Amino acid sequence: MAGPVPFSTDRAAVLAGLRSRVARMEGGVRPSGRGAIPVAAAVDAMLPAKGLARGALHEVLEADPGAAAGFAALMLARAGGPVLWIAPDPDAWPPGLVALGLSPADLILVRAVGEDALWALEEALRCPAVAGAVAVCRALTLTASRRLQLAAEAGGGLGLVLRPDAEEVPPTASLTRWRVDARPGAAGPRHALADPAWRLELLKSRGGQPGAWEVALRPDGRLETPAPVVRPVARAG
Amino acid sequence: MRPRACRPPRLAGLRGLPPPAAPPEIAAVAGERRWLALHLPDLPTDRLARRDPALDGRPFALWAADGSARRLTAVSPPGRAAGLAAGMAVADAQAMLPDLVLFPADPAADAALLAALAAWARRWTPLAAASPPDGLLLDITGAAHLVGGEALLLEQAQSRLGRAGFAVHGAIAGTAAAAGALARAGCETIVPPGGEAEAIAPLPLACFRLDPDTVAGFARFGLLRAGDALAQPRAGLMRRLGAEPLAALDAALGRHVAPAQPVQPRLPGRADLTCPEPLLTAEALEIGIDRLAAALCADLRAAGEGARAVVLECRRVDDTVQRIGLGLGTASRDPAHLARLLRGRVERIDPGFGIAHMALIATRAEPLAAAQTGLPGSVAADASRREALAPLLDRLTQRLGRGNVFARVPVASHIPHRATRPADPHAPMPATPPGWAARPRPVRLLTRPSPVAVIALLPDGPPARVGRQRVVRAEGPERIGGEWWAEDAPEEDYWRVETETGVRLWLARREGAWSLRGYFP
Repeated sequence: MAGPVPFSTDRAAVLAGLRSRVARMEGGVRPSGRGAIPVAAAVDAMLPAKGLARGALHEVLEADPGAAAGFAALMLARAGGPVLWIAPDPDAWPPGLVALGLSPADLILVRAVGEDALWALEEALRCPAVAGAVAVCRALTLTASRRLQLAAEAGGGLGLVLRPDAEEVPPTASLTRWRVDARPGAAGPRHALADPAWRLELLKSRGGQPGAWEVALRPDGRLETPAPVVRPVARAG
Repeated sequence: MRPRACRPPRLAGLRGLPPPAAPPEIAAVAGERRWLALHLPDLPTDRLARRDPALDGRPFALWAADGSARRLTAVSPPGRAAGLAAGMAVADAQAMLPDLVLFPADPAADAALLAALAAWARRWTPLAAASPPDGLLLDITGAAHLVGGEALLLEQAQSRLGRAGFAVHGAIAGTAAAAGALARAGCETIVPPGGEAEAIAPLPLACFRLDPDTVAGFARFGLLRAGDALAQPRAGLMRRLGAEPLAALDAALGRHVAPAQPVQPRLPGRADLTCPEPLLTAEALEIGIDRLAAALCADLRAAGEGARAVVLECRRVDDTVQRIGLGLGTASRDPAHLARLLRGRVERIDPGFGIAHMALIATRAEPLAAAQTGLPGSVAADASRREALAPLLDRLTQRLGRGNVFARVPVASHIPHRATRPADPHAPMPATPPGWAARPRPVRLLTRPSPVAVIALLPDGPPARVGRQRVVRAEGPERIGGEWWAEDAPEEDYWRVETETGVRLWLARREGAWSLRGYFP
């Protein structure tokens, strides 16, 4: 090709640059010093950030209270640092969370309802010293989620919102939306419980594809996909 | 002054009371107040001698550079006896006394000592002032009878200062200037009210803190004593020597009042803002808060302290005071943080007709050193991390309430609800008990056990159904009993169950009644 054509020099680099510019405009994943939080190998492969992005808001729909709380606690523990658990009745229990890797020294509980809970989550996400925060709340409007997303971008922490499961969820500005449900554990004797098994459903992922996985939580805190049942979900939020 | 303008007018004249008396005579003004002046002639040398007993009784002196020459500024009494005097060149003094001990002069330390003495003198009167460079002025009006009269007060002040190692002369008079001049002249007297003119007449003019040139000017006319100067026609003196020397003499007679600045007791920190115009809007109050926070934090930084509790006082033009108290989780002197906490509560202030004066007072302060960040995992790193978190926790606590932001610290108890207790999130966390990770425990422990319908096939057997769900697996029972000294904790059997849909629950049976205790992941 004759003549100086700037785009032909390094096509891959130009594309990567454009992609990051678009991502910045959209206010999505911001490149930060600390990488995204790994979920499980099979799940990370589907996520644009190769894991749960820091500095962003993620929604978790609570199909099963124990599994959703366990998933949120596991992600907060992997964020590594002080985390806040904001709920109308913060019943997160350190003796159980220790097994997920969340140290009691890192956990601060906040009792707040409704608007106060969202305000507390926003304040927490704005603080750079906070690695992650989760708020248990019923409703999340588009405006509120936008504020939370901007706060998370400013502070760089992992923002989680635990909401009750619903068929129709109004649109929000969160980066991803998950539905976490419990699954029967692997076959075994009747008198001993197997490793916890969850069904993670990625309902919405900005810049990525939705999906669903069945994972098992091993005693060392790893999430494994025993049978990678990747089933694309038709609906995207 | 605007606040005064809003006070109700005085109506004394309208109620049939006798009309207000004519303006009092000057002598009466002088008779109204009583002043105790204490003169500490050897303050700089006494300061050193108090610190180092080895200097006691030895000739030593302080010096300061005066241009290219080094001159003595103060000489200890034994040095004076040997012929030394302030103002002498250091070389001359060393020639006279070869073993003379010399110290550099430190006017700042002298001033600080004088201020400390003034604060100490508040034991006798709330209006005690330092009169630099070497005096104290106490307004003892109405305070002398508390120690048994002016004579006893004078004696007590002199003897206490003398025991503390200070040379001191005191005098009591109706004006501050007269008492000061008498003290500097070494006349330890009590001047009866109205007797000032008579008392100061024989004093040398140098006692009135006039500059040496003025004293020399008086001396040129043959006027050496205050009485001589006061007997002369004022117009001529004023033309020749200026108004200042006559003002000094007038102050001694009470014809002219020179204000004294009483010392205020040292508070942890206080910033004041007197508003030229009353503040009415929240924006104006916020600007005021910003300024007060900046001033207070500069004060705290200088003192090496951080505030733990602050109070914002807003005085309205009608003289009502509104206070907003604020507690901080860790000591802080970050103006932005303080201002942000206070701004959130501005709406609680009712400005009424306007806020005339604001004050921000640190009611509790703690030493706060500059923090050093440590290696990851060290105690210092933990502390610095908590410090970074403290502003956030303060904001949350301010809005949500003290008990609603907490950490859970381990307690040595097997009973689930007693295994942790809420604690101050700012405090360092004790180590995690080793038993926690060993036992499977739920991630959520219900605050109140919720009764649940459970069917067990045997009276003591595992649950077979929970609600409408069939139990697939059950692990247990784990019998947890209360401590033997606790009477309200009967034994309970705990089961971990998994239903057919995979829901994992923590159930407990107490005397045949089942309840849901928590959720497993």
